[in-house]
Amino acid sequence: MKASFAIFVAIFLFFLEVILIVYAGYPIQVAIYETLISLFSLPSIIPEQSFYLNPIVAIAIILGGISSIFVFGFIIGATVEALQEVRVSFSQNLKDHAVVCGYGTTGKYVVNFLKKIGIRYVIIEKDPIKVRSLLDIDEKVVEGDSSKKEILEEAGIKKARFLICCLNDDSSTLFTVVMARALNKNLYISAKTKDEKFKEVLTNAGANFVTKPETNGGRELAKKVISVI
Amino acid sequence: MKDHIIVCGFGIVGEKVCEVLKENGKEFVVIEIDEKKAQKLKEKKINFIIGDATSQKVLKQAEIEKAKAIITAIDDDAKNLFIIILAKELNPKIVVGSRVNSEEALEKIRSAGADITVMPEYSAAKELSREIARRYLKPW
Repeated sequence: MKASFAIFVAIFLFFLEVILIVYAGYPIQVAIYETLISLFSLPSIIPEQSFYLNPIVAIAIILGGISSIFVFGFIIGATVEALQEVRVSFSQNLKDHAVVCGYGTTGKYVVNFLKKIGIRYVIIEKDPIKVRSLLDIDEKVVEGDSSKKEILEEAGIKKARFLICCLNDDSSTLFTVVMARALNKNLYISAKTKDEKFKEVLTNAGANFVTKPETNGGRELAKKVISVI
Repeated sequence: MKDHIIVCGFGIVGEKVCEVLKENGKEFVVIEIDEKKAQKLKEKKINFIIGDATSQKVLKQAEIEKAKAIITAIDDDAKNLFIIILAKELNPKIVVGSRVNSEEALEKIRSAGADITVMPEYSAAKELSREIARRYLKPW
């Protein structure tokens, strides 16, 4: 329910109830007071039975009950809208940023690098403990599974420039790459994989660059040793 | 053998290490515990010893006293640590390059005597970062 519509209906019904009670022959202050208490389902202060037996008053009280539904509708609607605004504003301010999936050893290194080079980023992390510690140090973080559309959208994937997938699970990496590519055709997607054969699968799924930790590590280790002996 | 390099472990990291050593014309010997990998090593015409690299006897068989460097490429930090301690004992001048699998083990492996340490996860992260930097500096 739209909050503005609910408040409009509530105000309309409120005035209708007041007018009806005044029309039934009661003073305006009694009409306003009775209308207000009927909104919150409180007992009337008028002791006379005749007040409620008057059909016009009865209709007015019923309208008051309906109006109270709209008041609560307004409260719920306004709360939901406010919460949605918080979620949207989080990614709304971001453009051409990087989305880093997974905050393990690789993710942490990449985040530090992005910080140094000056690229704005959002981290997507599944582990609530890691999320809490990231929030403590004021990092922009979305908690959840990066292969889910709404999580990627919350991280502003549609306006992002880079996606760096640092997950340890190859199937999650694949789902994330496929979903991210579907949501943003211009995104530059890079990922790491455990399996050499998976490199091609990820590339076909839409990844622009795929790396394998063990292969890189082996190459770096040998090169460094050769350079010192 | 003299001034050679000993490579411990012929997994993905070890295999890549051997590839680079070969490309650079270095003389090396692999110590591998898994007999099933012998065939692959033979196919690639690589000198190898089937045995446990944490054993002094096996390291001596690889002529560690005369070796210039040792590269531990096992996916078990405790084993790599043990090999480094043993290698330094048998040949104090040997250059040690080690794979490190977890951040917690990094300092321990360094203090055990490793001259070069490489964490595969960091290597991948470095490559991912380099790639992003390259793209970032390039206009859209």
